[in-house]
Amino acid sequence: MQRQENIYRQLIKETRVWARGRQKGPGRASGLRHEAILNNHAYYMDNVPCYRKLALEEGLSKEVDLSTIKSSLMLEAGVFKSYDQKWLDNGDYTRMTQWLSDIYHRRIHVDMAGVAAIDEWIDRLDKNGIYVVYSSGTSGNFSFVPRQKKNRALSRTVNIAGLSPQLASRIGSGFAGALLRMSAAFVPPEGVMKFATRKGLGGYDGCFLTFRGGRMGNQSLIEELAPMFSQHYFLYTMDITGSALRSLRRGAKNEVERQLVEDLKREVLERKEENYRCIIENMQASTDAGKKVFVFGAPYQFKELCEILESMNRCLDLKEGSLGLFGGGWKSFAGEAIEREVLVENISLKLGLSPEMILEGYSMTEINVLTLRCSRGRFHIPPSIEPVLLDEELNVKDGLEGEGTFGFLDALAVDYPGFIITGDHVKMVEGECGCSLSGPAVIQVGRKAGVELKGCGGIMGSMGV
Amino acid sequence: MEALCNRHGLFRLKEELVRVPFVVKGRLVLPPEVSPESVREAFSRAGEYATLVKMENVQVLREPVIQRSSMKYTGEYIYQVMPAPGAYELIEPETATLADGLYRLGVDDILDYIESIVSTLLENYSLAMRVLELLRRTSEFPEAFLDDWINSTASSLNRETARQMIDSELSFMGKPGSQYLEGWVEVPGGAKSGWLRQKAVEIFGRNENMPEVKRPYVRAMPTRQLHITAGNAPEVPLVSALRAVLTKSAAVIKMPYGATLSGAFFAMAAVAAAPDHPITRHLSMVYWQGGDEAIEAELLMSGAFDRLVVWGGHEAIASMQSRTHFARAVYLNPRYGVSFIGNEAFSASLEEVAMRASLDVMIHNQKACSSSLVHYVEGSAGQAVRYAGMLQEALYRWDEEIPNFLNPLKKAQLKRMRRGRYIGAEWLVNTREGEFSSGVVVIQDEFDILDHPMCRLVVVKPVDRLEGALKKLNQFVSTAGVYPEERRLELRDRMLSRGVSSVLSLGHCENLYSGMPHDGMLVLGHLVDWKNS
Repeated sequence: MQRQENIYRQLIKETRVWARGRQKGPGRASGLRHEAILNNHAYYMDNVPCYRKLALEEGLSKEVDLSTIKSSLMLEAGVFKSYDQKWLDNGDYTRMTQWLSDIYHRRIHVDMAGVAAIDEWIDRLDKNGIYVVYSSGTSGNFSFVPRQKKNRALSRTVNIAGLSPQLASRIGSGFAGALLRMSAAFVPPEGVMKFATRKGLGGYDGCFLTFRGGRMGNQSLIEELAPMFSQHYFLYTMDITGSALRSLRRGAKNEVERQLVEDLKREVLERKEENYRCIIENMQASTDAGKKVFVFGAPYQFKELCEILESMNRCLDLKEGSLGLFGGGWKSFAGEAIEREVLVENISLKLGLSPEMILEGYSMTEINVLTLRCSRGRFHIPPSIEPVLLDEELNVKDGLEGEGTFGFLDALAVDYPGFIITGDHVKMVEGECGCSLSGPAVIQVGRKAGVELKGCGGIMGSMGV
Repeated sequence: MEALCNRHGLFRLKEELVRVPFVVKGRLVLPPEVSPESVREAFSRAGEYATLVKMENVQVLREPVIQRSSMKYTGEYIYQVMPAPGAYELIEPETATLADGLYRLGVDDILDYIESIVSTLLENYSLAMRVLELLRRTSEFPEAFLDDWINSTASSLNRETARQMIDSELSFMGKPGSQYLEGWVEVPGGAKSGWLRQKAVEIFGRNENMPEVKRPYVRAMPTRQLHITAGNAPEVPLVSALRAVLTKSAAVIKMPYGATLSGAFFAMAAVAAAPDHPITRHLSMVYWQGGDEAIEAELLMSGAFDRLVVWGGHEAIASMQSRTHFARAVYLNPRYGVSFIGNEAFSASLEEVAMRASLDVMIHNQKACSSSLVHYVEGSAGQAVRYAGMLQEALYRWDEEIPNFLNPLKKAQLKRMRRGRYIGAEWLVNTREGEFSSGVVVIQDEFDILDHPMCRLVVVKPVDRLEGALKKLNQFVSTAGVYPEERRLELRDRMLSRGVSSVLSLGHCENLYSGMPHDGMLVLGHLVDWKNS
């Protein structure tokens, strides 16, 4: 593991070099990444039961090459929901924990006595050092991805290394810009993280078009981001719970669940307009106080915000340097597709943000990086990820140009098998980009036909609107 | 018919192109000439996953060529060049014309019409073989199924079976359906006088102008039908067309991707056999890409058709339902078959039971709504694995005789299942040249039927008691095959009450007869308007 940690340190450095546009061609990073992936394979073989099962069925041992991993050992994202729904229905969290052990690198011996709901289960695991994030699709079947807390910090560090140069170029002046430039140039990302958390991103208020807390997809990212702002506010002042979301989709089974669904519906449907009006006033107050605003949400939430501003016949004029960041699926609340250009134009008009300050992120629960859409429309994939483009049969395509199913080998995924075939149909390109970054990039994302919609947009669309 | 095809270069493969005609209200519509280069260029612009491109007045479908010996794609394509009719050409706005013409036909006229089409098909056997040869190049169905399809269509479509369908499916008050289709039929028993008439006598007194109780009459009136068909079996568009013909209705049949050749061939036979027949003159068989708003928006407008018949998967059905709120529709929803294997199988010949079960799996190569996808096996996990092994062996024998074909999406779905949600299951897989040809997967946990790839894969679920598996049945299960017979008779009504349409002996689920209920309906009865006089 010493060697692996050393590789990670170097990969972080390489990520920073890449993010500053200084790396042309594959460089050292690909060698480091490949070594980390092969080490992970051997580690999974020893420690992750479901991965070992697949490898043995394929007749493979610890000694494999990268192309064999790509062709035979990539798991499909459904592995994170390969449990029996009735265990959740029946509140059998001991069985759920056994299942989680199968996709985790350690056997989990946590007493689940008294645990009666998903959120309690997640809390109990959390107290034992296992951080579980879930995502949900339209079926209401949750994917659970377990991480060790230590490795979560690693992914945070890589993200800072990769994202700060991209953000610094947009934020420009002020404390936050200086901090990001520092991170990009001199200070190690770990230090930036500590500093930012302690001091906050002065000059910025955080506006989160989502719930105050929860472990669903983006929500866990928000929990980390929010404290970095001197002031932050949420669209919904309640936490989103797994039990409420699941009951919403699969039906409530008891009075407690019915109440959870009622509360959620009240907050999201009945009080929707009131909540948006409230957050609009918060943004106005930040602007009046001379603060910039960082606005984060899913595309459909930005769309709703713009619609409500329109109904109020009002435009906000956020302070120069304010940022919008959206991600999480191109489906609106009611399931209709939103056109990106139209949305950006609306946000620009209604919030007073210039289009280059409206960012888009692409990520998923099963991966350890967040990628940002660059000024040329590309989601550049950082060096810690080995992207794989798969054809209709899910065989590995030659090269990374063209359309196909998106897969990846995540060098940073130690706690769970990080060689994943996603449900995303993407268009990819390779090479240098006009934005100064280089390497493989995703330029278009959609869902594979027949694969359920995932994320906030999908599940929230089920709320009866 | 053959001469006509030769004159216009139809159904003939030339430089990867096949010209496919449509029939629009009895008129043969030929595709415009296009060059292979322009077609290839259009597809190269449309991207590697495109299956259809529209050019000026023409639409071109692209289907990959399958090598039958290896049952793999060759990397080549066949491009079907088809006309692109507009919606306005398909709609029948003049109901009076229909009432005075098509709707007045007698049942014998219909049966003569069918006979003439069958004769034309038989007279043009070499042309039929040519079409079959084209189908063989691209159809995902194994050759044996295609050969059987031609033979069974010819043998099952005749005067007697057609009359049986009409008589059975339009039967009313004990009288055969042909009477109601022919014209007005007096209702046995007559009608009772209403309360108002009695009151009127009290108010106005009895006099000769007071309406007398008349004898009631009923007839099955034809309708204007739009059939959106599915491609899970090549005969689906023909079955739909036949239903339109048997109800002497004006119909538009939308052929599905994968069955355009068979549909167009049938339509052409109708034109060749009886070009001026009222049924032909009100029959259209065409293709457009499902969801194409340019055409569907008009066709789905209120009043354009009297009946909508939709076959298809979840998305197609849901899409139609969301756009046709008040339409009178027959939805032939996506459904599937199951098998119930009682524990008695383990004290009988398990091999024989597995062989019988495999028959129900193989129906339409597991693509029909009656094909068995999930087997509930009464017994321990170990017994379920034993049964799965026997079934795997039976499927292997089918693979040897009738090699399977899996398109890339099926292969991908199998990979998703094995490496994803069902990674913990026990997989027993038959392979051919290293690739999946059939298999059985024993899943003890929850199985989502929407994950099923329908390509000779059986999901075996062990259950303590067959009675316990009843809760797994619902309206989406069309057919259940049960072993042994005593258990079938014992469980039958409880299974049917949960929404299943047919509960049959294991191994008998492919059996059909004319006039049989389909998805719990006598479909012809839903396609006519029952009128009173």
